[in-house]
This record gives sequence, structure tokens and C-alpha cells, in this order.
Amino acid sequence: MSHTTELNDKLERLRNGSQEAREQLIEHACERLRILTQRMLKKFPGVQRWSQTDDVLQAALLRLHRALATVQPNSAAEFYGLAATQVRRELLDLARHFSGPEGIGANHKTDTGSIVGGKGEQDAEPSNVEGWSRFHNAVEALPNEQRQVVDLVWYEGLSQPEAAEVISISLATLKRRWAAAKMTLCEVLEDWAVE
Amino acid sequence: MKSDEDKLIDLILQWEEASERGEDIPPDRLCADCPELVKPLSDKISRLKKMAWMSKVGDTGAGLSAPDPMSGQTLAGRYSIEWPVGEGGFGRVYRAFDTELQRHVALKVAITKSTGVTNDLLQEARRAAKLRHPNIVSVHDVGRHDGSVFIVSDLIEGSSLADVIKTELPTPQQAAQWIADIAEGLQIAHDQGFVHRDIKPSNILIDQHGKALITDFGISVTTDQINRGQTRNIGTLSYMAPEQLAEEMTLVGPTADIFALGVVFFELLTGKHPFEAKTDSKRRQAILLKMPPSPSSIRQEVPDQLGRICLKCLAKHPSERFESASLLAKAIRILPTSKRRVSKMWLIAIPCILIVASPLLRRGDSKTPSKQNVTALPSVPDAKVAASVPLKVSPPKADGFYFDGEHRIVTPIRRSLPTTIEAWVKPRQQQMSAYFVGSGIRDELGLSIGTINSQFVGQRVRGALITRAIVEIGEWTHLAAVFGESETRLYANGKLVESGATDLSSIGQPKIFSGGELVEAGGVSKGSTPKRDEEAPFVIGGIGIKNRMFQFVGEIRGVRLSNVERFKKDFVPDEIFEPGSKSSDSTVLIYDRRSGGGEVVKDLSGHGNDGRWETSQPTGVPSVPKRDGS
Repeated sequence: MSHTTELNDKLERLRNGSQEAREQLIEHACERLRILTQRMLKKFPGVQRWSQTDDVLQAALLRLHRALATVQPNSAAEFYGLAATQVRRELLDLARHFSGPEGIGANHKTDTGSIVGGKGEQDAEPSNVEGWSRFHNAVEALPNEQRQVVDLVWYEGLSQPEAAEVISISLATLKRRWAAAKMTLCEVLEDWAVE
Repeated sequence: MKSDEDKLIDLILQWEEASERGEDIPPDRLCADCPELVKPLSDKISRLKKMAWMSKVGDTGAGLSAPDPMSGQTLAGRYSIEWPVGEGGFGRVYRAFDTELQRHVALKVAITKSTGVTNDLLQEARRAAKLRHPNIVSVHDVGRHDGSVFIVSDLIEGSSLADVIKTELPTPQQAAQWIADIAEGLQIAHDQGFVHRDIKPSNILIDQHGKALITDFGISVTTDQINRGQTRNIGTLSYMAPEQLAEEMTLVGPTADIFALGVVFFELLTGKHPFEAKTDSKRRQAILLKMPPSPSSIRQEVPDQLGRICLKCLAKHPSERFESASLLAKAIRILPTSKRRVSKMWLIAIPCILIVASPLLRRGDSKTPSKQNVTALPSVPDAKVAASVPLKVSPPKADGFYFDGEHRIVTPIRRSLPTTIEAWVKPRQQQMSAYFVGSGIRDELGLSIGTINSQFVGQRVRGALITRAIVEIGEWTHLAAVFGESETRLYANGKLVESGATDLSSIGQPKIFSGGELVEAGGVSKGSTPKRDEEAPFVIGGIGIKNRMFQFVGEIRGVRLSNVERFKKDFVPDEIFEPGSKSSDSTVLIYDRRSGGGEVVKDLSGHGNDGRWETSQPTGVPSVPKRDGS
């Protein structure tokens, strides 16, 4: 079964109220949260060990699962949108948890060096947890159409054709929105860097 | 005719598509027909390049998104890797099964493959493997696999002191007991020339019996240090002794561990750090210069004697602390303490199982690196990691049947309507989703009960009926699901908590209960995909689902199945299910501790619906038990 066919099958079962399909989608969202959390924290020198980060991630995963287990979405797009929103909000919470003087990161550091890492000009990927907070907030502030695409492609990790299928738009339209979103986000991150 | 803006968008998309193919088309070439757009296009492309990282959605640097190449492999001919359960600076930790000793173990595989590093790690692991003490997590084996080092150690089920401090403080007496136990374990290590240098709450585990064990992940420090070229100040700031912070490395010895243990003691007694500070630099200063408050000034019930012992551990100069860990233990042991029941709250507070890699301790050589931890927690908050012992039948201590997430009981009962499922259930841990009594295949074919994040759920053919009733971890709850022809009702401890329509849309002719007659498998066998009307039999303890994280972990002390709508309003649950207590004809199955502890689970209803224990099948399709003599 091709991936797209599999996705279609899953979405169809979700529409028909299948609990198993829902759980698979929730599991997928949890996996995305785990992956994105690792990505967010990997360059944070204060949080290099997972002994405590995992505790917090476990709690976030439970909240995510609980939130998604009880929603009654009318469509797959709505479900994915809710999942991405929950993932983003958990990431924001995690960022808050790990940053700041009372954050867990404080216990991991053995010196008082800056937590802000240097970045090359060619890459606007946030290099610290504060930067990630800014990024997630910037996504939240995107126009709906752009945010929907970022939700599916970045937070949910769908391919562009899959994302286009989920929200029933052409691939070209999706690409256009994806590019527009990235440019908007770049502006926000650059503005912040200048500040 | 297109506007400049539309043209620009088209050009951006052209550039993006080329970029996805690995090409970087210069803006002037893209704008050959519209040179006025070169500048704005260059700006846009510049931004898109800066955001190229967003396209690498699966690149976490940790590779968790990719299938784990180790899963399913057997290392050293005996350690069968099941699945990854955690990750840290050292590498990845797996739950594995030792096929020779027939037990589960934690197996850590180092990230690094550098020859120098692996040799060093092997050396450290071998030294640590010699440490044996009831309060030290044991290393059992080390070896090489594909150029990496792997370390095999105890798989510990429980929690850590970090969880304890976060959830519920122990009594001062319990805290002292743990500290004394740990001190005795440390003494053994100190006697053999090791200094831990990273004692902290997350490195002290509490097993299911409430025993404290030191874990040490010195290997990660070895790796860290070698990778970073660092030789000093490895540890966790909040638990570092003044001499470590001051880099007085010649003073760093066993008493640095005693200081760290003093910090842990203080936290256990008061819930606060002895050197509270908002920033690292202030904390560093406080550790170096500030005197900690008396624990009893923070928590009145802390006896002064315990407070004094704690503060002696926290003395600034090593010579002012207890001379040895064993003296600290003795100082605690001679105090008159009453035996108090250990609260189990913290044992279940965090619904996960710690997988512990080795306690690897280094010699107290000032020129050699210290250690850090890589406590490995499971990556999923669930039953991904089950009990450490592969149980086929319930253990003697269980009130009923114990389910480890890997085994279940298969009955000859088939789905039909009406049906009432009752069970006394005590979950061991919070699980995202676990169904434990009902049709062996879920979803379209299912009639079953379970929990989603501890919320009682009834699965009725299609879709789940989710209640707000919480099935508490570690407590017995009577759950009942009445699946009527038209309505499904769910009861928790005899109270109606949810009702809804029973969706029959996907059922053909409902099956009739098998009663005493064995129903043939009907084409359902291991590995097959059942058709709609060939639903699998009812199972107990782990309704078939491919992912083990959905397998129930906990106890079930009694199950009763009836082919009537047994309850129509609130009721007082029967503590023990007896045949004939209501309508003997309608009760088609009863299992409880009287059903025997062997492979066959005796049906007490008198209908001969005996069950059998089996290992959960990856396909989720249970095999139907054969009736004796048939």
C-alpha cells in the first residue's frame, strides 16, 4: 500500500469513527512532538541530558494524547490542525520550562556561559529555546492559510502532496503558501535577531 | 498579463522546486525576461535559504524518526533487543531480553565508535562491573557490537528520587533510611577506589519494593570529556561540592559524594535546595560561600538530629564532613527511628519505568574524568516497557492475574449481543490507551473495555464511548460494560458513567455465545487477517493491537462475562463473582484467583470456558484455546 493510499485509508477510517485510526494519528502526533522537542533542545547547551527532559516530555505527551483522544473532529484536516496546534503549544510550554533562571536547564549547566549559540548568516534556525519560543509564536500569528500548511508540513511532518490532499488544495497552491509562510517567519526571526 | 507580484511568486516557486532537486538557480537567470525582479527575487531567495532548515522536518539529530536499526538484533548471541526506551549523551538504551538467563535487561549502546573512546568505555564498564552491592545497580556484561560498546545492566522498574521530590516528600525517617542505604552503597565504591561525582536525585532510583539504588552513568562522562576535551568540572552544578566548583581537584574525593548526598538529603527532607538561587552564578556563589538553613526551619517535623547530620554533609570543607560514607550511614542508623510504612505514592507517581544503565564509577584520580548521567527514561509514557520478569502466569503476590504487557488470557468466548463485561482492575501505570477485556481484535470488531489516559472507555464495535471516570493507578476499580442490542452502558464501581448507542452497522449476524461448546477458530489463526464475521475470541489482559505500548500492564482480580444486560441501573458490585449468584445460565465465564495459576485458566461459571495464557501476538490475533478432550 503506498503511503498516500495508506493515509487515505486512515483518514477514511477516522471519518468513520475508527478508534484505531485515531490512535495511530495520535501516536503520529506524539512522535512528532518527541522529534521536534529533541530538535528544539539539541542545541541548548544547558539541556544535554535527557534524564529530566524526558519527565517533562512524558507529561507533555500525556497532555497531547488526552487532548486529542477526546476531540470529535469533523474532518481529517481539522484533526491534523488540532494536533499541530497542540504540538506547538506543548513545544512552547517545554521551551518555557527549559529556559529561564528556574528552568530545568539551570540544573544541567556546569558553568554560567551564555545559552545563545552563534549562527551562520545562511541559517535562521533558532539556536536556543527562546528563539524557538519566538518561532512557535510566529507560526501562531501567521495568516490562517499559511499556518495550516506549516502545521501539516512542519509540525505534523506530512509530505507536501499529503498535506495538499488533507486540506484539499492543489500542490501548487500548497507550495505557494509554504514559501510565503517561510518568508514571513524568516522576517520575524530576523527582526528578533536584530533586537 | 501577470502582475509583477504574480511573476515573483512563480519565480520563487521555480527556485524552490529546483532547490528541492538540489539546484541553486541564480536569480538573474530566473529573471532573464524580467531583470527588474532580480533584486526582489534575490531578497526572497535569501530568506528561503535561511529557512531551508524547515524542510528537514525529520532531521532531529537523534534519528528517532528513522526505524531503529538495532531493534530485533541479537547482540553477543544472547541479548535480543526489543525496542529503544531512552536516549542520552552516552547513546541509546534498549530493553533487551537475555536469552541465556531468561530475563529482561537494560542494554546501552554507545554513540561513539572512536577506537580510543570505546576502549576507555570498555575499561570503565569492566571496572564498574566489579561493584556489587544491594544499593548499586549492577553491570552484568559489556561488549562490542559493530564497533560500538554496549553495556548490559539491571532493568529497574520504579521511579527516581527526582520524581519523589517532585511529587510527595517522604517522611524524614524514610528519607534518612534511603540516604543511609545509599551511603552504604557508596562506601563499597569508595573502598574500591571509585568516586561517583554525580550523585543527585535522578541518579538514585527507587525500585518497586522501595529500595534505593545508585545509578551512575560514568560512561557518558567519559564520552563527554573525551569528545569535548574537558577534564574538569563534570557534574551537575546543584550537587557539586565547593572543592569541585573551586577546581581544587586534589580535594575532590569521596567526601564530594558525601556533599552531594547531603544536598539530596536536604531536598528529601525539605523539598527545597539548600542553596536556593535564581541563576547559576548565584548558586555557585551560594555553594561556595553561603551556609544552608537548618532543614527543620523549613519543615518542622524534621528532627534536629537528622537536620544536623544533613548539615554536616554540607560542610564547606571536605574535612568538616563525615569522614566516610559508612560513618554517615552509621550516624543515621543509630538514631531511634520508628518503622513507618513507606508511602507508595512516589512509586507510582510517574507512570513510567526507569531503564537504568550501568552504575559506572570512576577511580578518584584527579587526572581522570568524572562522570555524568544518562538516565534513560522510556521515550513514550506508556506500557512500552513492561515488567522486568516475563510472566506467563500471575505471580503469587498478585491478588488476581498480573499482566506484564506481553501476555494475556485467551478465552473461547465470541462476541455477541447482549453482553455484559465485568472486571476488577488495578492498572500498574498510566497508559495512553489500553483495552483489557473483550474481543481480541479491536476497532471494527470490538466489544471491549479499557482506559485512555486512565479514563474508562468502552469499545462498541465502531468508535469508543469515553467516560470521565478515572480508573486510578494502583487501586481496584470495578468496571462494567453492558452492551445491549441498542444501547451501551458503562459503569465504574457500580455507578453509571456513560451511555450511548451500540453501533451495529458493521456486524453481520451476531454470534451466539459459545456457552459450553467450543467454537472453532473460524479461519482466524495467528498471522491471518480476520474478516468481519470471523472476529477473534475474547481475551483478557491485552486486546490485540500491533503496538506493545497499548498492552495493558496491571492486575485483574476477577472477570465475569454474561450474555444478558446484567445491569440497567446503578448497583453494588460483587466483590467476588460467584456462579449462580444472579442468573447462572446467563453467566458464561468467571475467572479469578481460584482459576489456578497454571497455563490453563479454569472457568468457574460451570460452562467450561477455560482460557489459556499466551504471548501477545504481534498481529494482535489471538489463537483460540482448544478445549480439553476436543
